[in-house]
Amino acid sequence: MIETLVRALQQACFRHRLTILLALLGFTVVMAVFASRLEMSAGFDKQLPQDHEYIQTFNQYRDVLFGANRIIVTVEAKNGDIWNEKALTKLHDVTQAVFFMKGVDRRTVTSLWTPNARAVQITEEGMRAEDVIGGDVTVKALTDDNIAAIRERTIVGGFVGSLVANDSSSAMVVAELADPDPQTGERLNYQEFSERLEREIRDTFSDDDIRIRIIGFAKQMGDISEGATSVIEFFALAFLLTAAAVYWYTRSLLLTFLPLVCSLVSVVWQFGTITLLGFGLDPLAILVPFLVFAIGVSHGIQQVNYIAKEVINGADGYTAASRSFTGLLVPGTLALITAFVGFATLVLVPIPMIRELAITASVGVAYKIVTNLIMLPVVASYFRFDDAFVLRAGKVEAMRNRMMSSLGVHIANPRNAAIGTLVCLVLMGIAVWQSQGRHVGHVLPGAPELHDDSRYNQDVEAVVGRYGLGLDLLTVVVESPADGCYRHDVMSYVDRLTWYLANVPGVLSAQSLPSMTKLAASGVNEGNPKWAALPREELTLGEAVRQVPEGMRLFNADCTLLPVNLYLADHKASTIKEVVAAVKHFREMQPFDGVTVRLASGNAGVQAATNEVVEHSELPMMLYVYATILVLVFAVYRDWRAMVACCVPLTLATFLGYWFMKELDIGLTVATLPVMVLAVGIGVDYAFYIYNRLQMHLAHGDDIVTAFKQALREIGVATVFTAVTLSIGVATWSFSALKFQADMGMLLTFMFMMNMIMAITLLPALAVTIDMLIPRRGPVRAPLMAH
Amino acid sequence: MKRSNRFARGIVALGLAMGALACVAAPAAPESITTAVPAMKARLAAKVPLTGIARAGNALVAVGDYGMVVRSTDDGSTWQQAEGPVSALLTAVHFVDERHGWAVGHGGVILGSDDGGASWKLLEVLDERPVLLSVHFLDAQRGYATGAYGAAFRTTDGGRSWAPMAVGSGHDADLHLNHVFSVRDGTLFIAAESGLAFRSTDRGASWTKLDTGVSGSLWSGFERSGGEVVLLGMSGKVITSRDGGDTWQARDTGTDQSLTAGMTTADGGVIVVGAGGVVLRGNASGPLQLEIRPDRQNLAAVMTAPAGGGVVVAGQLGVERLVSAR
Repeated sequence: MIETLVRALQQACFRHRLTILLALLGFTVVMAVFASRLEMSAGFDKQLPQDHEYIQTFNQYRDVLFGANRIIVTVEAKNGDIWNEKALTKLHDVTQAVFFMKGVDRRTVTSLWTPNARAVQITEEGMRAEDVIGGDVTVKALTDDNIAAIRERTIVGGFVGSLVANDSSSAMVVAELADPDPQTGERLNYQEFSERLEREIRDTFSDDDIRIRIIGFAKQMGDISEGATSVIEFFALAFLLTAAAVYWYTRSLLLTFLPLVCSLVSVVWQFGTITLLGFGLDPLAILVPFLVFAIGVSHGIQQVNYIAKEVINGADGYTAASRSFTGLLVPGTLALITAFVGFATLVLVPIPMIRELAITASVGVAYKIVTNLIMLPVVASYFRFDDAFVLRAGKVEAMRNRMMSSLGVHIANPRNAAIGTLVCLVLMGIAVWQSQGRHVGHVLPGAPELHDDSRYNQDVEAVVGRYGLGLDLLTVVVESPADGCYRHDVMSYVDRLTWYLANVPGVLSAQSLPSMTKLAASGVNEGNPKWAALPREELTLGEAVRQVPEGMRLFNADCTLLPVNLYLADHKASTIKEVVAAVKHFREMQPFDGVTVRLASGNAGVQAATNEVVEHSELPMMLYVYATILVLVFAVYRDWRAMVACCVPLTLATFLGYWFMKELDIGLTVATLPVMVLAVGIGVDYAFYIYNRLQMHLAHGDDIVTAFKQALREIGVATVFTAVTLSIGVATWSFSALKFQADMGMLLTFMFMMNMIMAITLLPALAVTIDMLIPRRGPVRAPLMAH
Repeated sequence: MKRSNRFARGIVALGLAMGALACVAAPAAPESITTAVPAMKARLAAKVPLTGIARAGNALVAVGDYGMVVRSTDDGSTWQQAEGPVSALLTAVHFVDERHGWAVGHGGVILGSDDGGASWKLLEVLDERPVLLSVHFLDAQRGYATGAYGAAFRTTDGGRSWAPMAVGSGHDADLHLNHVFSVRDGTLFIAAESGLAFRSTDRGASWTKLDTGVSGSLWSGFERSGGEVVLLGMSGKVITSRDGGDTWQARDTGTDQSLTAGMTTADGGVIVVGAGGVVLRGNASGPLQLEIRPDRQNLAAVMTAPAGGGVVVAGQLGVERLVSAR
C-alpha cells in the first residue's frame, strides 16, 4: 500500500519536476522577504506558565505586591565606602536616571534617596517612620553631620543588606519594570531597554571612583540577546566545515551544495513562517533553527549518498535521483515525523515561549520533508555525472566498503553481538543510576545562559556577595475575609504561618503584616519589647496596624490580602522547592476557615512555577516521543524486533545524555528543555536508515549477519560521516559567548555521536541477539526499496 | 491468640479516641490560637524575639515570642528548645533554684517547670486574659505575677492557684506594673508606668507608693551588692536608692534610649541593657560606661552566665553571648 503511494508520488513529482521546482522557488522568494523582517524578541511573561496556580496568583496581585521583573543597579565605591558626598550624590543621580527611564514603573523605584525608604523605629513615642534621607536634605546640602544621620537611619531602618551593602561599599537602586506599558499597552523591548541601561546608566555614571553594576531579568535578556547574535558566526563556520566535509565525502561540488542549499531553504521558509505568525526569534530558542538545519543536512547526506552509489553502479542522474527518492522517502519521513512529533509535543508545555518554539520548529521540520526528501532528489534529477566522477567516487567507495565490511563482521558476529548487548545493558543501568538527581532550574546564582566570567554574572556575584537580602523573594499570598487585619484570630494565623516559614532552611527572613504589627504594638506601648504581640482587642489591634507604612505592601486597601514575604538565600530549585513544600504542608495541616493561603509571587515564586512545569513536562514529552517512534516503526515494519532494535539504543543514548548533563551542571530550564527533548530524537534517523536496509536484506533471504554487513556497507559510512560532520558543526558552539549555547553544543555533539555509535553497534548487536534467542518463524516483510 | 485480639481491639479503640480528639481540636478556636496551641518546634527558636532570661542552677533559660522557651547548659554558646505549652508571647521567666521556675505572658498565661526549664506545664490562664509582664517567686511556693492595667496576682502554692492582689489605688490602679522583684531582706518592689514604684514589706499584703521623682515609665529594677536599689526605664533613666526606696537619686547614663533590664554581676558591678543596642556597664563604684552594639537591636534582657563570667543578652534577634567592645 505504502509502496504504491510512494511510487505514485515519485512519478508525479518527476513528471512535473520543472513546475514543482518553479513553484518552490517562488515560495522561497516570498518567504525570504518575510524572513528578512524577523526580529529577535524576548519577553518576561512569555517565559511563565500562565495557567499555573502560582502564576495566576502572581498575575492577580501583580499591581499590589512586589513584582518579579526587577532591575537592580548598584553604585559601588571602588575605594572606601559610600558614606561620602560624592558617592551619595552619584546614588541620587542614578536614582533619578532610573526613575525617568521609559519602561520603569516609577512607583517602585527604591533607594536611600526615595521617600519609600523609611526607617521604622520603635520609640517611646510610638512607632516612628521617617525617611532615611529626609525631604529637607538635598544633594547640595550633604554635610558630614547629615551623612552620619543618614547612615544611622539606614542601620535602624534595617536597610543594611538590602539597600546598602553589608560592608557599606555600595548602595542599591531597585525598580520594577512596567511590561506592558499601562498607558500604551506596548510590550517592553528588552534588548533596547538593556542597551539604554548601558548607555544611560553604566556609561554615564561610571568613573574612576564609582563602579556601576546592573542585574535583573531585563539586563540578563539583553546580554543573552547580544551573545545570541554570535550564533550567526558559528552557524557560518559550521556551514563551511560541513561543506568541506561533504565535498570530501562526495567528491562532487554539485552533491556538496545540494544538501546544504536544500536545508537552508527550509530554514528560510521557517523564518518566514515565524514572521507571518507574528512571533519573534527568542534568544533562548535561537539554537532551534540551527538544529533543524542540522537535521536537514543529515537527511541530505543520506540522499546524496544514495544518489552517488546509484551513479557509481551505472545509473544516470535522473534514474539515480528517482531511486533515491523512492528508497529514502519512507525512512526519511519516519525520522522527520519523529522529530516533528518531538517538537510538536513541546506544545504541551504550558509556557508561551516554548509553545511558540514548538510551533515554529515543528513547521520547520515539516518543511524538511518537502525540501530534503522531495525537492532534493528532484533537483538532483537534472544533474549529469561524468565518467571521471564515477571513477573517482568509485575508488573511494570501494575502500570504504572494505572498511565497513570488516567492521560489520566483528559487530554482527553472534558472540560479539551478545557481548555488545550485555555491555550496553550494563552501561544503561549505570547511566540510569548516574543520571538520577539531575538539576532542575537554576543551579548558580547568576544567569545560567551566560558564562561565569561574563559581566552580568560578575555583577550578580558581586551583588549577592555584598547584600544579604532582597534578591530572591517568594511571596505567599494570604487571602482573608474583608478587614482580616483587624481580627486577632486571622492575624495570629498569618503570624504563625510567617514564623513557620521563617524556620524553613533557605529562608533568610520572613516579613508580614502581623510581624510589623507586633513591632507597632510595642511602639504604641512606649517601645517596650514585652508588648510586641498582636493586641486581642480589635480597636487596639487596628491602632497598631495603622502604623505599618503602606509602602511595605503588606496589606491592601480592604485588608483582604495579607502577603508573607520570604527572602531566600538563593534561587536554586532545591531551595525554592523546600519552601513551597513547607507552605503546602502548613496550609494542609493547619487550615483556617475563610482564609486561603496561596502560592506564590516574587521572582522566586514565579521561578517555582516554571521549575515545576518544566520538571513535570519532561517525562510525558519523552514518553510521547518514544511512543511515536514505536508506533511509526510498528506501522511500517510490523515487527516487534524492529521496535526493540530501534528504541533500546535510543534509550541508552538518552540516559547517557542525562548523565552528561548532570556532570556538566546543565539544569533543566525553559531554555534547555526543548533542546533536551530534541536530543532524544536527534539521530533517530540513523537507526531508521540502517534498520531499513537491514530489513530489506533480510527480506531477500539473507541471514542476519550477512544482511547487516550489507546494510552497513551501503549506508554505514554515510551515517558515521553525517554524525561526525554535524558534531564538528555543533562543537564549534563551545566557543560561544553564551554558556548555554556552549553547553548545548557539547550536549548535542555528544548526542550526535552517541546515537550514531548506538545505531551501528547496539542496534545490529540487538537485532542479531534477538534473532538468535527467538528465531523468526515466518519470512521477513520487505520494506520499500529501490530496484 | 485471644490476647493479641484484645490488644488489637485496644489499638482500634485508642485510634478512635485519638481521632475524636483530633476532631475536637482541629478547628482552632479563634481566641485561643496563641494560648491553646503548643509552641512550634523551630529551627530558629533561639533567634526569635526574646524578652526574658533566668538562671536555673547551671542552666540559662530564655523566653519570648511564639511561646518559645530555650535553654542552654554551656553558658549560652548553644541553645536547645524546651517544650512549651503555649504559642503566646512570653514576657518574663524566673527561677528560685535549679529546678523550680515560672514564666508568664500575653493572654494571662502562667507556666511552671520543676526540671530546671527543660519542660513546662500550663499552670493557669487568668480570667480576662490580662497581659502579664513580670513574675517573681520568693521560694518554691510564694510568688507574684504582675502585668498591664494594674493586674497583680499572688500564689502560695507554687503557682497552682492565684489570687488577685491590689497594688495601686485611685488613679494608680490602672497602671502597667512592669516588673516585680525582691531584695535580700524580702522587701518587694514593683517598677511601674509613669515613674511610679511600689514597695511591700509584708510579702505583698499591702503596697506603698514610692516617690521616685521621675515621670517616665519605669520598666525594671534590681538590687546592687551593697544593698542599693536600682530602677530603670524610659529615656535612659536610671534612679537609685540607698535607703530602701524612700529617697531616689537620678544617675547619668549618657543615653536617651529606653532601658529594659539590668543586674548585678558576680564582681559587684552592674550591667544594664536597652533599646537601640545600648549596653551600660559599671563597676562597684564608678560611673556607667555606655556601649552601643553595631546592630542597634533592641535588647530586652540580660543575665550573667553560670560560669566563666560571660554575659548573655536577649532581644529582637534572639539570645546572644555578649562580646564586649573592650
